[in-house]
Amino acid sequence: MERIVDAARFVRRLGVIGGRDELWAQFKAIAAQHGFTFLTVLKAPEGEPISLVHTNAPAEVIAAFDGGGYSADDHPVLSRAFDQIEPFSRDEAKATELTAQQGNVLAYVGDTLGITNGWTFPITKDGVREGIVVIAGAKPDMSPVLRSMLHLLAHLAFQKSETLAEGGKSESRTLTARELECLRWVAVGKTDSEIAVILSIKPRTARFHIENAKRKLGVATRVQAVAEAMRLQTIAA
Amino acid sequence: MMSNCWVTTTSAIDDIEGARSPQAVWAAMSAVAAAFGFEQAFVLRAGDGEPRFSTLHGTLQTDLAEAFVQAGFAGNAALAKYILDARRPLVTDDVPSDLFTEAQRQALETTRAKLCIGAGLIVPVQNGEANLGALLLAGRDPMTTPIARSALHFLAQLAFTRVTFLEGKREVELLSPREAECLRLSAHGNTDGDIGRKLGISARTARFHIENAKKKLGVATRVQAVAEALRRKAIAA
Repeated sequence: MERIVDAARFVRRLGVIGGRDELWAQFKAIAAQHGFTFLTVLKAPEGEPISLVHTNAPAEVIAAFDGGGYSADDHPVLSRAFDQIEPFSRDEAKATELTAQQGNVLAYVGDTLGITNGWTFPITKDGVREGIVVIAGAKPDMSPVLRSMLHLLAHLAFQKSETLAEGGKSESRTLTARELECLRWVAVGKTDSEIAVILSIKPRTARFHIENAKRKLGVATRVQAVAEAMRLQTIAA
Repeated sequence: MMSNCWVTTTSAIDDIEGARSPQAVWAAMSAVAAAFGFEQAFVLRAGDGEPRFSTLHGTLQTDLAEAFVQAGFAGNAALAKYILDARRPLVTDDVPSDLFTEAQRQALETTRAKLCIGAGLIVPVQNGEANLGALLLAGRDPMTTPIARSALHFLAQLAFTRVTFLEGKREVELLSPREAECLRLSAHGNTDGDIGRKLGISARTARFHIENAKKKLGVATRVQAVAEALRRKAIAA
């Protein structure tokens, strides 16, 4: 059940994630806990070309995918992901009618990445296709409850990823290491001057870090900052 | 409604994780179910050992609830087994009708007509191999898309997990309700004066409650008290 709580934390943290790479890295970390070590996110709005949002596959694997026609809209597996909204497994994808070359590419990619199974989650918004999130691994946990959990997380992460892309470079809401350190000392009851001594900085600097953390967390008081940071699990509870 | 239910999903995760009583968990679950168009939400707790459902918690009208009890749904082991074995959300029409007795079929028909139910969703919840129960959802015109099913499956898991946690944990009672309330408001950036106004007590009394909470938690400052109370789940995050 711990995994469910981890997933809940991820959703709560979505609000303060500042960048797409960080977002998908955190999603990948959760998926990896369950054996899904491979992640690829494609954006494919209706009528627009497919673009790669995120992947941790090596370049030669991507090239093989492209060579196998995976970047084309009419590829059977991609078409399936675009036409239906129900997630499907790698086994089901393999059962799709593929040409010999497409089948070989799928097998080659599986061998290269050490993948035996995984899920493709079609992402839609108000019934219109947006993209797909693919996760796979050597021995992933394919249980129904995890399928639901990762399906929901992929959906929410994709939405957030799109918002981040639209918003451009807004100020990062992620706390810096120094801000976190100061906040941790505040949480155990230290004053600015005490924190200054501990970290060998000026009290003013300690105050500066805490004020920045407050602004990023969108709160007015120090007590609130600690509560919010604990709630978001950015400092240990 | 479509986009709104994702905002509700995120806030429901907060509400469920922060709930301090099983009633609060189910209230949050009902609210998010309603956002997906399921106006009716019931919880069935699985009995020990044999697959059967024991208690019912929900918003069903008394006469309907009685009809359900009379029709013997709780004792229908074959039905319970079918639902729990599925391990994934089932649309009500997926359940074979021969699993119901004649009386049960009638009870279902009456309920359907009386509450104008268009579709229902049955969400089984397990922790590993142990059956925890199921969530029954119904509504006039609910969202039953794959992603809606995944979201509700995940939320049901989270809700049962939280209830199991709350039932097994008594540390919640470490602080008096008043102390917990004052500390919670303090964590949200309120001054003693604000807390006093919100609770209809004087600022001095608010201060008194927080001082007592500090003593009980064995800490020196207010920030520490909030951090410690969150850590020990004596106040909701």
